[in-house]
Amino acid sequence: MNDVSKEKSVRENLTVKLAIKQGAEEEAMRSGLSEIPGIRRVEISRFEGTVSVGFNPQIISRKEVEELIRQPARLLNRLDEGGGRKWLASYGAYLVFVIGLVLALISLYLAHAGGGQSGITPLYWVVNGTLVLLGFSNFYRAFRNLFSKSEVNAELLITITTLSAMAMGLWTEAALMSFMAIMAHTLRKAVIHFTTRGSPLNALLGARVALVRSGDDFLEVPVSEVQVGQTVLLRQGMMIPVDGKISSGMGEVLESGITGESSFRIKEQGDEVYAGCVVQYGTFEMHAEKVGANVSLAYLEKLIHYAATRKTKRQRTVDTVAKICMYVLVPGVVFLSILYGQFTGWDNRDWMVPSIHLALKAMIALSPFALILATPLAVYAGILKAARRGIVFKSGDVLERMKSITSLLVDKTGTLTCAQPVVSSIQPFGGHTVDEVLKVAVMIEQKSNHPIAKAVMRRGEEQGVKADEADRFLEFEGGGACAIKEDEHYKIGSLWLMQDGRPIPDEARAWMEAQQVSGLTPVLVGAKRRIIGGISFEDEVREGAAETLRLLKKQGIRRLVMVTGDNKRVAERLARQLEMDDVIAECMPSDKLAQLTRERSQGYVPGMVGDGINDAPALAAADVGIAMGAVGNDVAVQSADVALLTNDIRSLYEAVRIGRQIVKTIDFNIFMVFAVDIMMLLFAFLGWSTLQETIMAQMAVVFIVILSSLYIYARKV
Amino acid sequence: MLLKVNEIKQGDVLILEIEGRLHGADSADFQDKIMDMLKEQPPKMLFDLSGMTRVDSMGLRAFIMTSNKVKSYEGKMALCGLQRIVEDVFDISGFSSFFTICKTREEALSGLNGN
Repeated sequence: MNDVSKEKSVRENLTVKLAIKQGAEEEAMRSGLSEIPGIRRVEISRFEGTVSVGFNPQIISRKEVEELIRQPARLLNRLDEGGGRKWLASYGAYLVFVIGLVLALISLYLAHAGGGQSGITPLYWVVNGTLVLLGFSNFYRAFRNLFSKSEVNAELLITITTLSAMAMGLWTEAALMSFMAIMAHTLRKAVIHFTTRGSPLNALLGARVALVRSGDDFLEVPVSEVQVGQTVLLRQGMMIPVDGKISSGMGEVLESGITGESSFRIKEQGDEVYAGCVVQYGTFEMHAEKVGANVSLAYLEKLIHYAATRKTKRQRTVDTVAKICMYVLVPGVVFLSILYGQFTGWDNRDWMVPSIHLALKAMIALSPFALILATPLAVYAGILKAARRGIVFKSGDVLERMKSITSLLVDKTGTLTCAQPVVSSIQPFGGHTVDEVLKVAVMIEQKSNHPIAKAVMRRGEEQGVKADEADRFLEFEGGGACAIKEDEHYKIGSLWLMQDGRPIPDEARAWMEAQQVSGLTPVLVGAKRRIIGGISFEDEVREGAAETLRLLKKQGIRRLVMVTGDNKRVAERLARQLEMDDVIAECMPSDKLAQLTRERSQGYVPGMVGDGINDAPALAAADVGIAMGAVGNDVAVQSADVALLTNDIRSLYEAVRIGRQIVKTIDFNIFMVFAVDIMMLLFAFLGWSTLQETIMAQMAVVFIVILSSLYIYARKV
Repeated sequence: MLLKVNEIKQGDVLILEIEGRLHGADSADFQDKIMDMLKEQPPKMLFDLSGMTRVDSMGLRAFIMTSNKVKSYEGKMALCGLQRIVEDVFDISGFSSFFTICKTREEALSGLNGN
């Protein structure tokens, strides 16, 4: 093997067996890998489940290549790296661009100085020859793609036109075309480089914490600071922050963050768990084995990388149009030009010259350089801009769907109101005391991540109430939580959860009714087969909620519906305050789904905003699901199309705005490209433009497309 | 995985084999389906849960509502074949003593038939 690789010395192959999901993952893998220096060929066979890569072992080691294939999330990091060869490669390209620009300007000057009659001087040869040579790598890429992938692309078209221009002795034009290829390639790279510089996710890193054992307690520690060997507590609904092994407990984990498939796995002591997977059920402790920002953010990075690089529906349509240009229109107009030239120059011996001139102009006009950049760069810039603001779009298609949303279902608790309700009152029953009720509640809720649980814990801390850990714990989404301590059952939650045969005192029912009438959320606390008390909670409207809803209406969302599991009175009071159009209270997760269907039957395109496990089905089913992720549940984040990782409802408006901005920019780009292309074609046939002017116009279009994408990134929301 | 419910009639016992995850929207459908079946007041119901890998609050509520309904017309109901993770939910929530839970289907059938 060694001898063989020495003989070839510059090329080795590696094939890795790996299940690749169609679409996003495949695209991301291909585009990501081929950007890595030293990797020359990427072949993905979904049918065989393999990824084959040709690489230069002198630049990148086999081990590194294998790691990049197996952990695609690292690709983005790798592409982001500030130092090393990648830096040189990028800045080298910029240097070529600047030299190219200077040479192009000199070339134009030489062509026009002295009325264009300055003649063919040595300088003319040096300038134009150098510029053509600078574009050599583009020509090489074009031919390589033609022969290795039978791919006809814009670069090939420009290569053919450049070579034709050279053959005709049009050196200025050849040089300009070569510069256009350099410009499109470099500026595309620059947009990607500029938008991904640093890690776009650094801002999000602080938002995520892990619960790390310290003595008998668990402390909230930023996930990037978790150390190998520490014990991390995993609660229901949490995203696993680092890689490691289960040290105690049992539960169910959704592994789609890693595998891309929705696979639920039961995990027990000794089983491995991976960062990015979500605990669907159960509570366990894990031993951290692989830590660091890369591991913990791998899932989100993967999401953004996929989203930014996958083709949207619109882009696929545009690509088809570009292909039609390449395969049908270009040969068509070349043929027409020759006919045209023949007819107009029949009596002229040199009929070929004007017709080839015309054909070149037509080819330049129709070369889809700008067209193929029109969508992906805007999507890329928009998704990365959003990511820096803590808004994660999971695909480019979401942006387009975002534009069509006409009604929005908004969950109440955690979305419109602060995620942290506060304890309003504690009512003991049957001779028990407030402290007893609180102590039981703290004992159960200390293992929960639910907002209600956090409110209980805060009240417990304020009153200095401490409780032992429960032996076993179980949380029901939208129902409450249960625990076992020394073989006794303890519960906190809705009335139905208490109906396990224990007596329900009349005073408890009356108290619950009274709390609901006054717009509060009551739960009952049960201990040792009795109901010992109740706790009621109140929630505050989030800062900026009313303003955000008003702005959303201005963005074209005609109907705002509050959906909540809370009781009717609480919901209606808040809905009036926030001027919602409708309110659906006492919702089970399935009722939220049913409401989506009702919205659709009334002709609306519904979006859904939520934060909890119980919102997850509706988030997945809505046309656009938006999860309030920083405070909410990771199951919700996984089900949604958009995750807002800031704890601010105003980012909901930003998400909608950015989505619309991107789609607008894409529409503008595509319209402009087509308009200018058609105009150039028309001018060419009418003889109103020179070849140089056509090239300049195409260059201007490419430049505007790139600028408009950068503008999305740079402008304020 | 989609939830599957197989109905088997064995004497006067209606056996429902549940396969998959009783979770989310499936739980709501399941609840509707069971409420429909209960209109005919089957005297004895047995839920074979050996293929059920998960149950959530809605699912648990469906079992509680069924049990209450069956008791109201003096029928009998039992559960059997609980997987460990499902058994956990019943145990910790304190509902394992509320239901008649048997290890095997045979044991449950003989219990329902009063042997």
